[in-house]
Amino acid sequence: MSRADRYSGFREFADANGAALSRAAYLLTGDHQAAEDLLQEALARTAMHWLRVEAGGNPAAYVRKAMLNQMRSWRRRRTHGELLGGAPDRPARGDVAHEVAQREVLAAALASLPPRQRAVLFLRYYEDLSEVETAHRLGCAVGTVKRHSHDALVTLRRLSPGLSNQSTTAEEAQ
Amino acid sequence: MNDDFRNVYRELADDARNYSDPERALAVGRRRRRTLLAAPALAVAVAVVAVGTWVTVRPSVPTGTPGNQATEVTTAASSPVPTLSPPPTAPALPPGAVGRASFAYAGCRSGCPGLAVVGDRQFIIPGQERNPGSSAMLLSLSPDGRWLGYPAGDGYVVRDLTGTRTMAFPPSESGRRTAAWFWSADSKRLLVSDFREGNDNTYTLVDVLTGSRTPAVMPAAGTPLALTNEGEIVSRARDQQPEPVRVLTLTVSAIGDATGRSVTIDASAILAQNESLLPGSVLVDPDAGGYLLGVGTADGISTGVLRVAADGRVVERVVDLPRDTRNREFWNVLGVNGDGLLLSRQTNDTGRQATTVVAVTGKALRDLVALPHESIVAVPGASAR
Repeated sequence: MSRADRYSGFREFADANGAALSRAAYLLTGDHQAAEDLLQEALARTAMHWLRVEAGGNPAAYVRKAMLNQMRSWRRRRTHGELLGGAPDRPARGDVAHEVAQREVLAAALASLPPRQRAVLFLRYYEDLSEVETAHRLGCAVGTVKRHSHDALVTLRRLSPGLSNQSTTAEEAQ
Repeated sequence: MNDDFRNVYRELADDARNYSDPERALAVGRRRRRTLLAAPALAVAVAVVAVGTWVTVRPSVPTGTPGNQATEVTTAASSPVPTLSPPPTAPALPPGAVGRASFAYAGCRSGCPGLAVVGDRQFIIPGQERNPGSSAMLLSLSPDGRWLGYPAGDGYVVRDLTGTRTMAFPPSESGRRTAAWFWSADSKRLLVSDFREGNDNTYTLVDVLTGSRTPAVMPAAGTPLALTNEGEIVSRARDQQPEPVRVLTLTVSAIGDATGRSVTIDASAILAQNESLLPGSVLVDPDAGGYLLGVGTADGISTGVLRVAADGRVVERVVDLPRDTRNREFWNVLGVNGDGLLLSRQTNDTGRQATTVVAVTGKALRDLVALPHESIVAVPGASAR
């Protein structure tokens, strides 16, 4: 039987873009299991409307938007309290183990943020959208984006001391 | 801008694993679509008491169009349908001859091992440690049941179930995979694809008796659909005929022929208003030298199968598939072998959930075996569905 069925394009798309979409899902959640849930949910929604999505010409954008929408509807899964005390001592620069540990702490801190704040960080710092574009994408005011970004960075700085204080302070000043 | 944070944040993305599982997403999507379709019907069904188990079904597709002489599909309650499910402990497929397989299946869409059914025995098919869901979708059996194909790591293995011969197909480079794509109806030829996700698939024609392998040149931007006994590849131009289609142009090309000849199938006259051709359901008709072509609704629900001559002329509707008015049953065209056309019927009714392999004999449908709900089935001559 042919595998070149109506969903062969979907399979090809998902396989070709799986890694990139997985990176986005991970940054949107900070948690592997949640990232898998998020991406799979978005892919299932995409599969249901594949012909229309494919005809739209940008399935990857559709999946990313589906992830953002889905994530915003999820309730927070963790509390800040789970992370306190998790930050390691800061060892010498270039220490790979330290970098890994720092990323783990950052991921955990990221996972602790409200979904809206994570979405803002993703759009601002991964997709490089402006505050205006981010606000448009999320359907909120620019001021809301600024507030979410500020609050997120403050929280991350508090929970992940490895982050540059200087840089987050700069963001606060905006 | 906050470059320090941006850098750390982006580096964090490197920790991501690949969470994408398209087969699982498709399975979920299908279930939801069916639930959506069934919801209105369920509201009506609440007030209905269903009487009778075996009925003569008048297909809902309008008849009377040329070549569509009032197909009557009958299923009869002659004997209980055998059921088959994965045994609690099945032996691994041993090396050496075990006999021809009647089919292969995985008992679910994700995470179930593939099983080869040989007579009344079931063997676990090896090489599916990685992503059992998609591995099961790559199972393949030759039409005569002699050759079994299955993934082995990123590569693919085709082995003779009646002897000791094994053919390995490693991918051409890291990051690519290989798999059996199509068998010729006489089980002598196999088209193997070397693919990475995208549209850069390459193909190799394999003579399974001699083991010779010939790179297959595909017509530009063509998606292969079937393989003839002569080793010609039947393909469809990608992106030129968006679905739904009622007129389908196939290209039949010999190995090394980048052009081929066109075969246009105009099914407008025989299709019902809401039907279209399902290009993914093209089979080479082993009896007539033409094609068998699935038709269905825009939602991809199979409603019948057409027989098409080699020149593209639509000969007849081979079968009209019973359309459950409650949308609790869905059909798929599985393949064709020496016994004729094989279909699957997925029943979603609570308490009756099953995937049943159904043979088409004349105009009658005959249930062969009932498998667990949402099984992935590879019948001889076809890849898993």
